Amino acid sequence: MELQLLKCPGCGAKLPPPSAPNGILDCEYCGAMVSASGSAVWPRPARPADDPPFAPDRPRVTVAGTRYVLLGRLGRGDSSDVFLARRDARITEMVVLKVVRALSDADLVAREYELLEELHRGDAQGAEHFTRLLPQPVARGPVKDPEGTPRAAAVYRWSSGFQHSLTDVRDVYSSGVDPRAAVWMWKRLLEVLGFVHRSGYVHGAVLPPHLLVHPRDHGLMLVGWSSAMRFASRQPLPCTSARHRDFYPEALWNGDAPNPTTDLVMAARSIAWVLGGDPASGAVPGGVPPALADLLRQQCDVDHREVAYDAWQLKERVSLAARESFGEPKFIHFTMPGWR
Amino acid sequence: MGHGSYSYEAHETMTRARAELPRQEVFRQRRCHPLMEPQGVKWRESRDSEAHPQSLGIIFSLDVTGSMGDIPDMLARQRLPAFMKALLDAGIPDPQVLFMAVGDADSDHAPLQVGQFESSERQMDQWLTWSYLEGGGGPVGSESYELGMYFAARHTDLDCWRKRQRRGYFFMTGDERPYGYVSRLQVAQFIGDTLDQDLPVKQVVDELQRTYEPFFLIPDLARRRLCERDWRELLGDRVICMEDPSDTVEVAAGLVGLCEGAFPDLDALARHLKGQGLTRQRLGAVIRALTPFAATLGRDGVPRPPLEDEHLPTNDDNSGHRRIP
Repeated sequence: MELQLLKCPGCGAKLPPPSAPNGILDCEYCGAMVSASGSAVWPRPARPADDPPFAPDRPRVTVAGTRYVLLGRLGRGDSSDVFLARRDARITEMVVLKVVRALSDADLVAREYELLEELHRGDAQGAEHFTRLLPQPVARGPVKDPEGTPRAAAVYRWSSGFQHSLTDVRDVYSSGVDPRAAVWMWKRLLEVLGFVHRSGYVHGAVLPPHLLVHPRDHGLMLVGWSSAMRFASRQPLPCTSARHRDFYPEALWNGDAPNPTTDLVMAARSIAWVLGGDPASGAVPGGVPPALADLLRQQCDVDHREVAYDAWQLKERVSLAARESFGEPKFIHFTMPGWR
Repeated sequence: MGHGSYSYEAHETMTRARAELPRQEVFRQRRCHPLMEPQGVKWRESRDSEAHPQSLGIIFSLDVTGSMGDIPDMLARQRLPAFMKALLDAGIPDPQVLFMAVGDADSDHAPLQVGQFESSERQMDQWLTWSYLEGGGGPVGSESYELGMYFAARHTDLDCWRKRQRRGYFFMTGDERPYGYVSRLQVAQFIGDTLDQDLPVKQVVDELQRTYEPFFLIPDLARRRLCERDWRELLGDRVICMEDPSDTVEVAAGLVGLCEGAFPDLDALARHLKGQGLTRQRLGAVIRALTPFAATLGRDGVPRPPLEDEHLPTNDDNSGHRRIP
């Protein structure tokens, strides 16, 4: 069969060889449709112009075939940098892009993503509600840095308003937050943990940088799932955060298998810390009412005989202690810089 | 089309009168109404007129399969007047609404039914109640949503776009996944167009978004888990997950109000809805449903997170993790 080089009759540009003799080709240059024989041309129909690109000065990156505009860096974790980004198209989506900084930790980004997918697929009681408080997976795959090195990355949906970790909160409230604010943070955290444990998982890294609060709505999200695992597996944690030794029960740090209680102890230590206290002992400043301070000290000690193993039960005890300390629950305004 | 003027009182009276009627009395069609047949329709037009100089085309593409039929039912009985009132309150002077009913092209007799753009309550209501709630639906977890999008993209003409470069609104309700392609055979069978090949649904969405602001509304959190992910790939933050189907009206009107700038942010919308007497619980549900999209617009009413002007990391860094051997 004789090969014939086709040119677009509309603009003269060269066309690729047609895949079938009667195929229709699109001219990449002028957008016309051309029949393979070259006898018929349909010019590109007039259509409204595309909208101008969003933030043309910001860098673009591609993950799993989708291009994103990097809006800026939200923060740095133990091994990843976290960016706010949006899909580079008019029909867009706000996302968080987590890119590994220490290349050896690529496996952690991957396992976090897969584990969150499992949690989202699960149907433990309350899944409809609580899966909204977990990072929602969008895509994962390598992303190329400016030097061309591929780095493991995961894309999650952005949750509006959840932008301050407890570390940021403690930076602002350097002597500790209002104990009444700590109560809602603790309770929200226990609710999420209750769901996670009921699904058969432990988080394994309930640390201040992984707890994001929504100041206005008194919401809390749990992020940083790279050490999470099924606790029935009886395996040690895959990794621990070197900067947060005080938040881990000693046995866990030394390689014991985690269980729901270890999550609850780490949660109590994070709350004690954001109150201005000491995570390892659970001692909190004198301004914290005794009922709450006692409960915290008890729950920070993994060997205490009354240490909780069930998040929902512990939440009840937190509610009781709060009632004893402050009376009937009521909404107390909590704010961070920039919020009304 | 699009003549006649809107009266909230007349509309309210009409819907209230049928609040207690069984569904078969409200939706009397037992097959596709001949005037809602899309076959051979060249254009559905939303036009300016003397009475409506600022027309804004709005399409409601309603999934009528299975339990999704509750939404058209609820609109016809009580909520549609509220939607129109909410739009008028939000400063949209001349909304023109077209109803489409969507089913499954593989198993339903009338997988696509199309009304006309209307401004008056009586005609709007007529098209809605002429819809045939076939209640069938596909067996495999997908419905022919793409046919509705295809029709809107290629067979509607809006003056708001043509004259003022303002997009219309396309709201689609549903609880199943989209098909990946618009089938040329189905397009020929139900609409009468000749396509050379199947169209990827991505391309149809791209055509649709040139003249419409498309949104996909999922009725509740349980059904969200069945289809949200697939729709988000197509429509991103325009997939709106509601907590209860009865919020459809407030959510849709809120979306129009936010996009049109009638409400500077979600706080303003919340104040407006509160003024309308919405209960605290429902107000919260509506605001939660709208928050992700409002964040995309920068109208979520929360401060922008502090961002460092950084690119992706380069080189290799020490991990802050301690591996347990």
